[in-house]
Amino acid sequence: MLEVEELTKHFNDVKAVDGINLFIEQGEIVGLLGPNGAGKSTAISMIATLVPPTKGEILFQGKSVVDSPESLRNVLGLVPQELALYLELSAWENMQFFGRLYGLKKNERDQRVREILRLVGLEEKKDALVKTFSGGMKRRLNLALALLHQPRFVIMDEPTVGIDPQSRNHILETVRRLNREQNMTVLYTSHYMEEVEYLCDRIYIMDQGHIIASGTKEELKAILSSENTIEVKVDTVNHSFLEGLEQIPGLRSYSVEGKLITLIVPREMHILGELFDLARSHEIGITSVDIKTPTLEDIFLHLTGRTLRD
Amino acid sequence: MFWSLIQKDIFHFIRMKRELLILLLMPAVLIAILGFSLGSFLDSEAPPLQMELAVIQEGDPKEDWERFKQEIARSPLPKEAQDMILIQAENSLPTDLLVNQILQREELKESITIHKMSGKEKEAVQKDDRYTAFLIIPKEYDYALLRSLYLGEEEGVSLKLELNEEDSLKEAWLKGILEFYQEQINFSRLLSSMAAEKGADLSFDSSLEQKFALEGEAVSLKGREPLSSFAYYAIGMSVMFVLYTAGYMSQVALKEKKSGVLERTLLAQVPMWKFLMSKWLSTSIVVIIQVLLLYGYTAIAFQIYWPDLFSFLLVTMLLGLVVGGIAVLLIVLSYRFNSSSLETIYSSGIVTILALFGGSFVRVDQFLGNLAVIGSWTPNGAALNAYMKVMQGYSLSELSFSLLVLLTYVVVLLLLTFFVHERRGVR
Repeated sequence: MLEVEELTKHFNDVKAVDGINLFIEQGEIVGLLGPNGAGKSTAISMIATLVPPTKGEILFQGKSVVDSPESLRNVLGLVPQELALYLELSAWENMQFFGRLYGLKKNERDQRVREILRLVGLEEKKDALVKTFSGGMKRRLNLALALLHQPRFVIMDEPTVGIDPQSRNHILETVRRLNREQNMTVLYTSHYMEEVEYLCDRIYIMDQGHIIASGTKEELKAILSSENTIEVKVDTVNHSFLEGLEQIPGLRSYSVEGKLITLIVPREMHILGELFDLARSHEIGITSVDIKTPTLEDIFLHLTGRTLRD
Repeated sequence: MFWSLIQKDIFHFIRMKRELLILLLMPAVLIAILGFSLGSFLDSEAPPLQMELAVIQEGDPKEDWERFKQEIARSPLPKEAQDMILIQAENSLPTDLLVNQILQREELKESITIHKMSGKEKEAVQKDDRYTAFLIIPKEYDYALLRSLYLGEEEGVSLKLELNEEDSLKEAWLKGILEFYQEQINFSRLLSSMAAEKGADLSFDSSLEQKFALEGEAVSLKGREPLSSFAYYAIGMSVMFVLYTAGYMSQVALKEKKSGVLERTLLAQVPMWKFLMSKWLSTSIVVIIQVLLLYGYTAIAFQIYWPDLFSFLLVTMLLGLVVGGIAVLLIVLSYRFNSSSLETIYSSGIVTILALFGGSFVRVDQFLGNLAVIGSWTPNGAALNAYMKVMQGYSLSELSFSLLVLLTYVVVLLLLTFFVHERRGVR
């Protein structure tokens, strides 16, 4: 359905996106995972035909959309990372306005607006001004506006940033439902690996403008099939302890988030004894140890040496 | 689609309570405050102009009149037509009309003192600083003008006005008086040509002459209606505060870009040029509504009415289009630099400077002398001048300079917008 070849975007000397390749099949939910600043939003803006690439090609159903974006725009819905809403208008007025821009006739528009507002759970709030909405409600309306014209392909750029768990679940469920019931194709970007893991059939991992890994969840996790992820909670962390940690033979990488230390080690290595000895010698108490199956977060850590939230 | 964009902008603007308060309530309050506090200062047309006008007659009007009578007698015109011309001409001898009838009208007596001089005294008088201005009536002026008026003989003689001091207000006033005199002469010319067309029959049609005479008088008097301080500040504040509307509209448009609403709009197959045109027109409509509301308020609160609604609406429409042009230029600039700094500079600095030079706070011609010319070239100054003239009863043709300035702004601003609009970036 959509192919991206050697897509590149330079802003002066900065290479925001550097020669990425990806493809999306009809009916897939494809995740684009990466930390802030990885180049996801720039890549998405180019795919959505809003920013012209410096180099590369975007093909939609075999035709280039770089020079003639209309064919893609007709079937594309975009949920931008920002709240692309008029806060001084009501939900109904926002929907009606964009419905008119899409050329929907009055009856069809009214019906469609009602359906979508029901879908995202905002039907009862349709007449309230958007500025009175909670963050989660605004995010749901942001999604609703992208679905108004029944797009076949939806791009979602961090659609759940900064909202409550209930609204997040609602959005994730809505995306899943649309994909299953209407065979909607979705390109979903996030730096929340659990969302991508939950929703996506295939995943591209992006960092510093490059795609550093891609595949299904299983294929990506296979990268770490030879490794274990050990999460260690300690009562305190100090520099000399971390220096000692780095000296443990075979340790592939580690990250520290507060009092949680994540270690990636070869599966055949047993480092727990050395870990406890090191903690004792630095008078650090270990409160829990958890040996986990690898997550996308672990994969990202393995590939870049950094966490997604760095 | 286009109307949807405009409608949405207007709805959106109406919901912005803080902005509405600033753009409507603040000028309304300022009109009242300035009108009351500076009213006596302005209403007295303070200080009343005092002019010593030396009228230098280089020739002798009596001699001119005798020569003209002789020429008429020698002409092949029928006796009745000759009599008719002489009666008409005697009633409006040019020098007499200007010096004795116009310059010494009751309402001018307080301001202008006339000193009649002969051509021999010219050189000495022109060196005398006591005189504000010199009006030089050249030799054979009456004779030439009467021949031109009644016999169609074009001869190049004209009055000369020289000012002894640089005072744009006095200069404007004297020029205004001479324009009025010119209107009277033109009126005589009209009567004369009608008489020529109608032949002898018209010589007895005194009612027609009377009718034209009355109409001519009414128009000229209307052209000099004084302006109250409330009327002045109603105009001054409205032309200033509409400028802020451009700033607010550009603020909103930048928010639309930063929030992704613009991207969403473009994805709905709305071309960028259409989006920008809608901003131009919606700002213009908001400005027109703003002006109508403000003048509605001043009509109710201060009994300020517009004598010529068509001219008023024309000025308002052009002002709206100019402010729309400023808004759309600010929008493309803020999009290009992705920053609201320009809008801030415009709203907090440029508008104030424009308001000052445009005459929103004080009569620039009274306080800035020749700098008033700059004011008349500012968009708000041009609108203010046009509105003042409409309120004073000037005809549409007399607004042409201000209207042309406004129209030029519209064209220039739209051209600048076109050139600044970056085709790269958001498509």
